[in-house]
Amino acid sequence: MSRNDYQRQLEQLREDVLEMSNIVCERLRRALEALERKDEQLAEEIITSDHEINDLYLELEQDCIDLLALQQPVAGDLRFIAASFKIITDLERIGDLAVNLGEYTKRAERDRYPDIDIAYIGGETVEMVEAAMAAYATDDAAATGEIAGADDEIDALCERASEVVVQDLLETEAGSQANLDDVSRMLLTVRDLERVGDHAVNIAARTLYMVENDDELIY
Amino acid sequence: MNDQIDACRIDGDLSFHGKNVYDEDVDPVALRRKIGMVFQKPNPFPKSIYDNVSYGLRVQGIDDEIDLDEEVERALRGAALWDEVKDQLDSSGLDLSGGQQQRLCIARAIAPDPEVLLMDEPASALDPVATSKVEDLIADLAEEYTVVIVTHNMQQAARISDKTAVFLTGGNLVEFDDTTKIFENPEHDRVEDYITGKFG
Repeated sequence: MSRNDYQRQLEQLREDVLEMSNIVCERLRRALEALERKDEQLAEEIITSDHEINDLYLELEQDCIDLLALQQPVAGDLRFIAASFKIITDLERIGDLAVNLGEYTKRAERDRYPDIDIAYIGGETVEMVEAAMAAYATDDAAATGEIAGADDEIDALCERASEVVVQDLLETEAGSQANLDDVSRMLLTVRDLERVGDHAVNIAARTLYMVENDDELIY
Repeated sequence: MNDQIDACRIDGDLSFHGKNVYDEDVDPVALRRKIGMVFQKPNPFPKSIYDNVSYGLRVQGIDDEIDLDEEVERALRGAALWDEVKDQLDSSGLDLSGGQQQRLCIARAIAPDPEVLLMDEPASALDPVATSKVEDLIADLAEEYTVVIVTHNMQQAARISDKTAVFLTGGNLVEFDDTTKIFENPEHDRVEDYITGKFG
């Protein structure tokens, strides 16, 4: 293999992006745990440690820029770096959504919607992100289509959850501030989890582009 | 070489370890042991591969066969050429391919264990595969030696250097900085225009 340093830098970038995704997925799992257990201390930890993910994002973004500027990547290498550049943005956003869940945890006092299984929906979205990153790690184009399919199920679950909230609103006395807080918090939680799924699809789409030069999933 | 040319005129200082190399009391042979050179066109001596590499060592006074054998192997390994030529050390250096000849010249340059390697367009006469080998080699050599390369190939400068000096029209130094700085955010508009290809 020639251009040894360059090859090493590419491999390092892939490892670093995967490491970032491990951190982000772990953060999201803990945010879901905090929400489930109403663990305000854990929620606070997630909120205050978000800067780690942001710093890592900036570091990896710079690594991509250096590779583009200094190594003139072409063909598969170019697609790999371009895809990685986009994927780290999705990962950083998922980190922000974990912070949002932490914020909701701090305001959650009641279990108003026992029928909405946030832990389940959240767990599914984390698995989607992990599956998308596994596809990225192993150049697995076939897996990317399955991830896009899984997002339809997440969207359906989120839509049903939103309906439960709206139905509850219609059937109970509106007007109490506590009720409105519960409504908005649950709708935001559902929206954020749905977005995690969307980011997983973005990662899968960029992976498909990277491996097959196929932009089918991008829009 | 400049000492042989009567009309040669030198302005300014060129310092090595704080000493101007053009001072009267500098021994050019001793200086060349510390500073190796590799030129644009591979220029092996019309001698065997072994003799090409051992030439500088013999000038240094090393003539013990065993020592020479060891040093020749070390230099050829250092130049990533050993595996390709170890069974033909007695054949002429001129029988090698262009890329191999250039690596032979690099082996010859590093054999006396210099501190600095000067390379003038070391890959410009080579095909992309040989270029890639020489560039990898330069990266490895840079672990041990200070390597100064002259190149007109901007991409090559970006790929393999830690620091870049940009000389423009008239040979003036316009900017010198970390390579990432030069290629991502140079201070001077002329440098930006040149590296982006807008220089008319």
